[in-house]
Amino acid sequence: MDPLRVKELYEKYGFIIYGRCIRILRSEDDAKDAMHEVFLKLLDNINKFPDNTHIIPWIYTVARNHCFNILRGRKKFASISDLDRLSLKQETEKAYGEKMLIEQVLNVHNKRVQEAVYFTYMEKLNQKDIQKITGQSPATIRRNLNRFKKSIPHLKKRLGIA
Amino acid sequence: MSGHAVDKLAIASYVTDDLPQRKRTELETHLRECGVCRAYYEQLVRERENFLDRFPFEQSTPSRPHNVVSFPVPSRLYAIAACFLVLLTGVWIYYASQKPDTMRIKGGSDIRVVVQGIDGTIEERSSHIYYPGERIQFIYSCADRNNFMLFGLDEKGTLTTYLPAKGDNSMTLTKGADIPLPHSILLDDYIGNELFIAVFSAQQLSVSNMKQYIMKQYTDAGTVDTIRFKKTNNFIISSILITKQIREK
Repeated sequence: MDPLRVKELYEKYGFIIYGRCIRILRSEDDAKDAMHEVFLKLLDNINKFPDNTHIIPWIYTVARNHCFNILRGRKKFASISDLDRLSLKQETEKAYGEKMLIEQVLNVHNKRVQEAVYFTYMEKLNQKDIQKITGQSPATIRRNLNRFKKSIPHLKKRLGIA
Repeated sequence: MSGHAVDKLAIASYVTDDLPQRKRTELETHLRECGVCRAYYEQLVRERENFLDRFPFEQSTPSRPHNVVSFPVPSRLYAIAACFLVLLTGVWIYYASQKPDTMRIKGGSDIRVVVQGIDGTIEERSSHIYYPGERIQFIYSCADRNNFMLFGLDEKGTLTTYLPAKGDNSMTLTKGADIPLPHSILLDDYIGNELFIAVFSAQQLSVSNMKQYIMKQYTDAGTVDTIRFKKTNNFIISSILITKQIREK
């Protein structure tokens, strides 16, 4: 691809990708690496978006999937070490809570529920936007959110929250 | 645009100049009226400026992920690996000549493990005894591009897929000797035997099918340390059994 075109795409969409990644990964280094990976995927797929109208939903989905895979990988390869937990506790309480929420949702629920919970509570998107990104109808989103809500007592137990 | 539900996708598309003209005009009107949406729009504009200040295009070349850990391999190991490769190649040539034409696995394939101890020392361990907190890095050698999967099976019959990190298809390994796999593994507090199972194949294989195959072998054998994987025409399995113990003080 023409380097000028790559630069143009980077300057246009880089901040959106990075914003999604840092929000999930809560680590600048990880988010930067993830941003590069997602941007490379965007370059591979850019021809599929002749009018650019679907690029933003696509970025939201791909960045989310990529970052969730990183979090799953962390769990598989080095389930959060004491050092990670220490650094987590040094983050703001909100960030820590969000990260724990993602971890627990990843542990317990299927992909559709994960999507509904993530885009509703983390990205704070409305159901119309979530439908654009995930293809889930508003009724399905509500059903998946209910599943998540029903699992909260179990999650609290796992997290040791009274 | 109805109510004050922030249409974040539309606002992001507006910032990236991807919104169709009709929706653009509609959104501009809404932004003038709605403080919440305008605040989100201004936040995105600030994020774009900050991003380009911090990560300008010139510095954005893709880099090796920082969570990929590679350990230096002592040169002596290269010599041992080379000898082993020669031996393995000989064995492979022998077996290849005995096998039907459907055998398509190219070149000798091998997997070894290097360990980073808790004190930071790095070694290729000859003993099968490992300790919680140690980090292990698998190193593979294969004489041609191969498909690959890596699993872990503990004594309780819990089968973990380490590679591929996602999806149901085996990943591709480039050819070469002593190349570290994309991830290292931190050993957790589980005490007991664990079998690491590396599957090399020429064709792409399904992870779920392979898991079924491994679990059948496990069920037949009864324990992880007695599993014997038979050679097949479709894949080669190289396994490493480790025993995790509590370190004596």
